[in-house]
Amino acid sequence: MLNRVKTRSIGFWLELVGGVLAIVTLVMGMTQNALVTNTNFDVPTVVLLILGAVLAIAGFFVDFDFWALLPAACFFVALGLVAIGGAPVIADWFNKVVYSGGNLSCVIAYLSMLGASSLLSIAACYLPASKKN
Amino acid sequence: MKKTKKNVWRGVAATMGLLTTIAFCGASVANANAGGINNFLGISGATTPSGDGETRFASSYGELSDENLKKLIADEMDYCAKQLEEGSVLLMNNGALPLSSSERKVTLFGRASADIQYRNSNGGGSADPAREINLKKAMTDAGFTINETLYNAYASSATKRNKAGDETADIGEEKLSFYTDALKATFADYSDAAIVTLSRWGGEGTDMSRKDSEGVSQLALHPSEKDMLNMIKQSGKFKKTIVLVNSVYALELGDLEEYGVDACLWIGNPGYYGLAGVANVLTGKANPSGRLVDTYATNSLSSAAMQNYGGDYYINSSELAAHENKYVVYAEGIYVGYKYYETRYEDCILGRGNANGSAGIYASKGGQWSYADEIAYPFGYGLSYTTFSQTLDSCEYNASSDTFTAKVTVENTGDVAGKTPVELYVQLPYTEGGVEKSAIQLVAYGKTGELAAGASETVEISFNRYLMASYDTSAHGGKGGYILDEGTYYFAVGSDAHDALNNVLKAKGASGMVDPFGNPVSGDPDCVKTYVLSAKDDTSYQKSAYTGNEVANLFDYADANYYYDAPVVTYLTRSDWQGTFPKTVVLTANDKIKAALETHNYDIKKGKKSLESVPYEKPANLTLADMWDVPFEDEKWTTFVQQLSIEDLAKLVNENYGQSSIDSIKKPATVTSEGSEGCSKKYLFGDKGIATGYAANTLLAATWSHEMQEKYGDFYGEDALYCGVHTTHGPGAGTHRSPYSGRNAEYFSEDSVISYYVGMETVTAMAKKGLANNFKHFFLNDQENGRQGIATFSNEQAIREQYLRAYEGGVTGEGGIAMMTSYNRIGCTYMAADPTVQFKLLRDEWGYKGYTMTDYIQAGEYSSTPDAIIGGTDIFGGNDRVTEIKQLVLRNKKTSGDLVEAMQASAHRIFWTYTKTSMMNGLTSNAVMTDFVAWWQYALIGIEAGIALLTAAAVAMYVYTAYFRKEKEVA
Repeated sequence: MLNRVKTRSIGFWLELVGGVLAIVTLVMGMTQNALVTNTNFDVPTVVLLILGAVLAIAGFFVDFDFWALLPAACFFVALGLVAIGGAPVIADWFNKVVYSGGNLSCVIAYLSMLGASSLLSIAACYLPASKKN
Repeated sequence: MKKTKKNVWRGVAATMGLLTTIAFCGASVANANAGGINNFLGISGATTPSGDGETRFASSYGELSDENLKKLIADEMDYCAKQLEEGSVLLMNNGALPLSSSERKVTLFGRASADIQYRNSNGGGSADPAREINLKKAMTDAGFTINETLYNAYASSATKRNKAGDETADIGEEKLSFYTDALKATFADYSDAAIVTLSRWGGEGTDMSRKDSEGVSQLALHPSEKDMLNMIKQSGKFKKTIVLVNSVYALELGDLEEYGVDACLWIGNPGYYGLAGVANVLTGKANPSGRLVDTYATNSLSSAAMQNYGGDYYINSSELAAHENKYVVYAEGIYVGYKYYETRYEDCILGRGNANGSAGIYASKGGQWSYADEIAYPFGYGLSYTTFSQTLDSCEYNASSDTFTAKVTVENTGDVAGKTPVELYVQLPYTEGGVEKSAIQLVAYGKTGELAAGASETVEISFNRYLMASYDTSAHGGKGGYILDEGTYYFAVGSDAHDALNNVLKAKGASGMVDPFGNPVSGDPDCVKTYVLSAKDDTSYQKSAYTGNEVANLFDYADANYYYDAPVVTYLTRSDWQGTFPKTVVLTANDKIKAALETHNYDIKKGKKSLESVPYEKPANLTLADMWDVPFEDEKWTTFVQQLSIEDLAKLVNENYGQSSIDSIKKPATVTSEGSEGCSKKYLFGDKGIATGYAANTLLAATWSHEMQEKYGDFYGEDALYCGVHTTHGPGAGTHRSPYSGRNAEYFSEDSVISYYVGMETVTAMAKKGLANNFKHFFLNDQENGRQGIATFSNEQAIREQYLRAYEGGVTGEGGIAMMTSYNRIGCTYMAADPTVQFKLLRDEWGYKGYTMTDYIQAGEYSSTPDAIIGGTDIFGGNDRVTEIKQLVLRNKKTSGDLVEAMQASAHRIFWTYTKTSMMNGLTSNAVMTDFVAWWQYALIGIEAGIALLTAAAVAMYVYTAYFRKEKEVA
């Protein structure tokens, strides 16, 4: 185990941070219930966030070169779904008219954290999968 | 080398993956809002006519053509000016107006003079730069020379209004420091008059603020405005000071004289082309004949309604979701606007009901409530450059038609020509402890033609007796109904509501009356006629005049008291003004409230019918063209809608500034424009400019002219024909329950009867041109604060006499073919899912046949799609629920039959409405249906495809470098 810790590249650790952020976002989203409730954190989003985090952790145990792409893909799509759900809330802010309700701060927080997850996972993809590589 | 390259390609592939996500999600959001984006960009997929068949709704200008459009626009421009000539209200004038022909060098003051608030709502036609008339142009065209130095300083100033509804709201007026010595030095050369514009800006989602950035109510005269007026006065340069009030929100104008103001003209929101009419009024080319349609109080917080305005949170609001935690209580009952002030005034005069007590004092001096102190200008008020006398010659009842006909002789007793409204009011017999009655209420109105000095005209006004019936919830053993109490009914004309009431009081033998300014008056008995009802009539309106169905109580659930064991709301009664003047109602959401707030009640798995038991997708070869003129009740409609697939039925659920075409029945794409002050689309003819944007609907009402109101609907409909528009959002008939409501510009008045008439005139005229008005926002949506999901509590009498009657004229008339419901709740029930309103009232009692659509609600947890459909909603504005409803039906085939039947009933109503629109122009059974795709949508497809291709290439390169390329030795 210690050996695997030593062989993990910085890319793995970046992706792991992205996974942690995804889980934090998920917890926030499930408890705050504050975006646009009937589109936020629906089943696909929840599955993608969990899957992304699991795949990021799984990178500890596997040495496939392509592996870093998998959590990244999950984070991207989850980010997209949250963006689609949050768009009306952001539009309300621009228009200064409430059509959707929702909490802009939460939307920005979700998008920021998932954006960070996505960028970290992109950075991970540019780096070697493990120190052996 | 290979290791580096594969890492780079992996990174590039990931980067491209993110870009792909952004592109697809962005396109998804954009396409879901295509209607709104096209609306914003002025792009229209409209074509007119829909085919080469018969023209069912023709323009009054003949064939649609470039040449005829020019004639139409020219007439509309004249009309826009006339709206201001007939709708602007002269509030004070010490002889300063009209300006003489030698008074043409003027200075325009107030930053708004260079930035007029043309309109307040978010919709309606925007400005056509080629036609726009700002104040400078209007004045210059009328022969004025304006102080351009000051005007340009305003125009280039960085100061802006801020529409916020809170303490950051800013009226955008310049501070005193703005007026440098250099600017002040210009005053002397343009000193015939200082013309000062005071402006306010609210609108959708934003009520007026009760405390803004200057620390005062947004409706008060602001420190910056007072400083400006004082500066003008103290400069000693100007012969006259004239104020233009550019606001649909009733400002506190009681002290203008203290600041040296000589005349004041209310111009509301004049639209982009109406200011020429204001200039005509200033020069005397036109004589103003508008009258107020709202009460102007000395203190804007003083009405009974304001005591519970804006909404409060339940004490235990933390236990509730965002769309559940707020409420507003209409504790004032029927005493809205002038009905409060005038009724309390009568009771003061007659010494009844503790009317002169201290409760509700905001401006009265001496500890007793005083009408003249509390009121600046009453409902119906307005001056002219001439004077008129009015005599109510007769007011006769015709039992066979159940109508009264009043004859009013009007004489121009002044020196110049002019026209004037004839305002006919009634006082109903009131007994203490009986059904609440306003001391005076408008029942009908008319307007004279242009009367030369000394000329007279007899104006004849007819109205249905139903409009003066009161709603008694205890009638018929508690079933409720409209009644006319036994006693004497006083009909009166007057220069305003207060004057009419004084005339009634005189006829009743009262004394001690005063005018709005506190001057003693005696009243004029020649302006009063009586009608005596020897016995209470509770049967005449027991059956609906529209359907024959029984009229009975419907809205017990709208009363907050319904939810509690002991009363939590005491409604204002004139039997005890002091004891019942409303206080802020504080509520805790109990279990009954919480249960009623739940909006997700429909469980499709508990449906009684399977999908296969419901006939759908049954070919019958009927197209929409075949349904022209088919009566709503005809069985052919059943056959028609049963042709539709689930996919087609689901398509009808959504509307985003239009609906897509349905090829199976040859239904063209629906084209919808925003409103309320005209079509927000471009003409399809001529120079393809933006359609005409008119003055605020409040100003339309203030013309008190049926002819002007009907003409507005007609021009709106003409524009729709030239834009290829079939349906539009607005106007609306919400009530100006408070001067603070952001949406007042889209509504007509604080009075339900004038709204009844204006609504009827306009939407009927629109419908005659094939335009369906989504009459908005039905109903009890009289504030913007918390509008999404706010629980609105009122009693049934107020609901019926005040808030429903305002819509009733439009909805039950020929133009009542489309409606937009509101975001709020009726009691605790979400309006769009309220079967009582949408079935029992609208369809069973009022006989309404058209569709109802929701306001544009993009999401919101309380807006449950199946609940709303079952509750009577036909269309959802704004967001895409097509996939949701389709999946709901197809994934629950064993029980989704009931929902499909409701969707078919919706389809029936939707298509029936469409057959009443210009969509039918030229439509034939063999029309070819295509949906419009805008240029930006093609561009998005290109971008998506390009990025996806590059992503695929990056992935391919990664796979190649990682797994197929032979490794090179690194040197």
